[in-house]
This record gives sequence, C-alpha cells and structure tokens, in this order.
Amino acid sequence: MTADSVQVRAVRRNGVCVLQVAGELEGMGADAFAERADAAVRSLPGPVLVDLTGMTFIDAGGARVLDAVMRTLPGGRAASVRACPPRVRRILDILGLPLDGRPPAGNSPVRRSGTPALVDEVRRARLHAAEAKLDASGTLAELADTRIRLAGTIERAGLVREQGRETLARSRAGRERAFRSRRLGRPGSLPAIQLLTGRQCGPAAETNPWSLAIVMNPIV
Amino acid sequence: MALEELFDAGTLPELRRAVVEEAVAAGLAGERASDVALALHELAANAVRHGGGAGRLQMTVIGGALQCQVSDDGPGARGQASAPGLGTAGPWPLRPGHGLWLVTGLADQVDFAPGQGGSEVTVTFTLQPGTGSERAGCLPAGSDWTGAGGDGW
Repeated sequence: MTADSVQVRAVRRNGVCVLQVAGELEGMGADAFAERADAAVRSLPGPVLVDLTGMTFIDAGGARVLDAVMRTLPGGRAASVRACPPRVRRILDILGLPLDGRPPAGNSPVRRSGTPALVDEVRRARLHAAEAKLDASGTLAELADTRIRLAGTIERAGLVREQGRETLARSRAGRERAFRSRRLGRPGSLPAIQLLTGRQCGPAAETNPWSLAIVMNPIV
Repeated sequence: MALEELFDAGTLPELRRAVVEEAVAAGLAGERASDVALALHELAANAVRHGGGAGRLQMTVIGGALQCQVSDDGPGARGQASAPGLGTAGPWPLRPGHGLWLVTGLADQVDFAPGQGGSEVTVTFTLQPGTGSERAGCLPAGSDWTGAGGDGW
C-alpha cells in the first residue's frame, strides 16, 4: 500500500468528530494509516463517527487495523462507522466486523479488560446521542430542501392552472364560434328568416309580450 | 483466456485491477468480479506475508467456472497439511476478521494444497448467472470458529 492510497481527514460537525477515510486501505502498511487517523482524531474533541463514503477498497488486514484504531482512540473515546458503501459493508459483515458500535454476534461486549461495563454503556449512549444529533441536522436540511422544492411545485402548479384557464377560455371561444357558424350556416352571415317574439320585436312591442315578427335577411 | 501474473507487496493494487478485468472478461458481473479480486488479493497478501514476499497467480476458465490459483515458494505454509488453518491455528488463521475467512466467504470453493516447497491455494468461482451471488456472503458452513470468533481482536 502506498502512503497516498488512503486519505484520512477529521472534521468537526455538530460537536462530533467525523473521521473521513477514503481510498484503498490494505492491511500491509496500514500502520501509517493508524498513526494518521490517530493524529487526526486527536486534533478534534467529541465522539468519533467514521465516514467511509469514499472508501473504494478494504481488505481483512485493513479492516482489522481500522477496528483497532476505533477501539483504542485517545482518551478512550467511542467510535462508530456512520456512512459505509454497500461493498465495504458487505466485506465488514463477512469478516464479522460490523464497526458500528454493536458488539459482534457471539462476542463478549467487554472489549477493554478492566473497563467497567457501565462506562462502556455510557460511551455507547453518548455516541448514539451524537448520531441522533447528526441525523436531526440532516433531517432539518432535508426539510428545508423539501420546502424549497414544494414552493417550486406550487409555483409550477399555478402556472399550469393559468394555462388550463387560458386553454379552457380558448376552447370555449372555439365552441362558441363553431356553434355560431353552425347556426348561421356561414361565418358572419345572418339566417335568411328570423322569427322574433316579444321584446325582440323592438321598442314598439315593449308593452305586448305576445308580439311576433318575421324578419327576412338578405343573404350576404 | 487465461491470466498469469507474478506479484509482490508493491504490485497488489495492479494485481487487483488485472483480476477484475479478467473476471469481467470471463463473464462475471461487476460485484462478483470485485469479490474475485478481493479473494485473490487476500491470498496474494498472505503469500507475500508468509510465503517469502512474492508469489504467482494463474486464472483460467474451466468447465463453466473461473479457477484461480495462488502459489508461493514458502516458507509460510511449508509442512502444513492439505488444509492449513481449517480448524488448526496455522500461519493463515481461518477465523472471523482474517483474510482466509474472507476468502472462504467469497469463493464458491477453496482448495488448499502443499506446493513445491511453498503453498498453493485454488479458489473457484462458478460462472452460471445467479449461483455465485447466492453463495456470496455465506460463512463457511460447519466451521469450528463460529462459536469462538472474535478472540484476539
């Protein structure tokens, strides 16, 4: 393994130290990785979440070194793998190294000899709280994002409604025109003979609602 | 098609890429090809670590399966029985967290044989679609180590 085949970086996020490990982690030469990871974690306080998003390869030896790094952090800080590509997760699962704070199946939960179980328990609880905090901030960000998208959708819906209204008006006008042209025989022409009743007959017939008039129109 | 490569500690990354290419050419899907690369990487790393710092890899397609042989010139597994590590604490321990454990979890078949002065491991990956991925991820059945796992790390 060359020195730059694995990248290690620690960043502080919501009071949690996120240790980002990316690239290829081979067991051979992983001691240098362990030292760099230790130094990176030492620079930031708080529980440690290990982010393996950028990890492209890990072998059994690399996984064992990563496991050892996580179990022996300075100050006995707790660590857990937070983000892990499915490929890496599968390898860790086959190896029996879940690395996410759970004790591997069939193992004793006590890992450091002489450490009271209660201290371990407190560390684990603190880690879970940190994870929950990180999750909450992620959820808030998602919520804001959803709100922005929703506003966009509402705006689009308004536009669509407006277009719908216009289309409806156009289709109504079209229907009106079609109806008129059907009634008139030819667009713009009047019927040759019209029967007018009551008021239609004109102001003279206002007083007599029973008035009838026949109008002959010239064909235009 | 066949691949034959010599490797040492410095060439393991190239070996992995060559293996993936070969496995894909043999007809294995991307995920399964990565399994082959990881299994052979573990065997090669063991050969480097315990077998004198270098070794040889051969890959061939035989009877619908990809057969891969990793051998070294010792002294690592010299004098071991035909299945070093299987239930015994050999130089290549077969227990959770270790390379050989991973190999048995990834390959469809693993055969150990003492080579000429060194050791020789043959792993087989079936090429029929589906069979490989179904098998993948399973731990060795009936292993003595399932109950005693986790000691030492």
